[in-house]
Amino acid sequence: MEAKIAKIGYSLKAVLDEEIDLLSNLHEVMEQENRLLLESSTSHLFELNKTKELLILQHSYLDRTRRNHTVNLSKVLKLENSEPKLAVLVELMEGKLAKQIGELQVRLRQLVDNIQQLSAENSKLIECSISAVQDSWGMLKRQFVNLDKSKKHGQFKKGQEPTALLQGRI
Amino acid sequence: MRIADKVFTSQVMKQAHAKRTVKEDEASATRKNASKDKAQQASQKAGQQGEPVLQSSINSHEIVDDLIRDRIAANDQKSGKGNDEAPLSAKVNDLSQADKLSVLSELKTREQSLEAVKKTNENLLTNRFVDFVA
Repeated sequence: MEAKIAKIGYSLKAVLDEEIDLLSNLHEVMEQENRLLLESSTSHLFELNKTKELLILQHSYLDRTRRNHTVNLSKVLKLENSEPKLAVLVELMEGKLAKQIGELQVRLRQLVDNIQQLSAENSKLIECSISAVQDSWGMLKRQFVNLDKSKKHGQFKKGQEPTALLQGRI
Repeated sequence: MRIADKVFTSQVMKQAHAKRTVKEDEASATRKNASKDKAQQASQKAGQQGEPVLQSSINSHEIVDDLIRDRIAANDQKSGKGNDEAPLSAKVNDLSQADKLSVLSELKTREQSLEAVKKTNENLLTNRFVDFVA
């Protein structure tokens, strides 16, 4: 039984190591996103979002494997909960492996906290950016329409007003 | 927007970008750096005060000004005449209908990009994973 626990434990450790790498990359991307949002650089933001989506997808596949190992470990350890927390597993394991996985848990928790914090900050920035872009659009549209009106001295045929033209095309 | 219009505005935008001079790029970079500095200052200030980082720097007027300046700079370059002394409000008169549509279209594209980023951020990590490492 000890050997079985160690075997699954090392497989779990390998997956957790990969998850740390992946989440570190995601954290880096979130930091870049934060910088771009502060600079209002939306063109690069979209490209960066593709990278982020890829990382999220990779993490979801990796996490599926992690869950399988967790469920297997839970069976071997005869736990009631089929998906126990990592902290519980660390407590039930022994020796060097328990210490290593414990260290990984601390790093993962830290990464998750940092990512969630950045995500919350970026979400606020995104909301502000969306409002600013929407306001800009409205402001500009009004300005253009007023400009066209003044150029034509307010004489428009029905259906041919600049507003109608703009609304039809945008 | 019709496909033909999209293609047209896209071409106008590409031409405008291709013809922008180094000088104009530098001017734009200077403005953006100033904006960035302001944003960072606002961010730091808000952080120090323990307030949420809401960006006063993300300003509609600045976005519009930047777009109009870029468009007019591209037009000046195209026609070979530049009028840097004229105020921005006067320069708007120089914009053609296609330019106006292109600027508005660019803003819509920005909004869509931001919405996409917002949607992605809503599903970063699963609750199951967060609970597992907690």
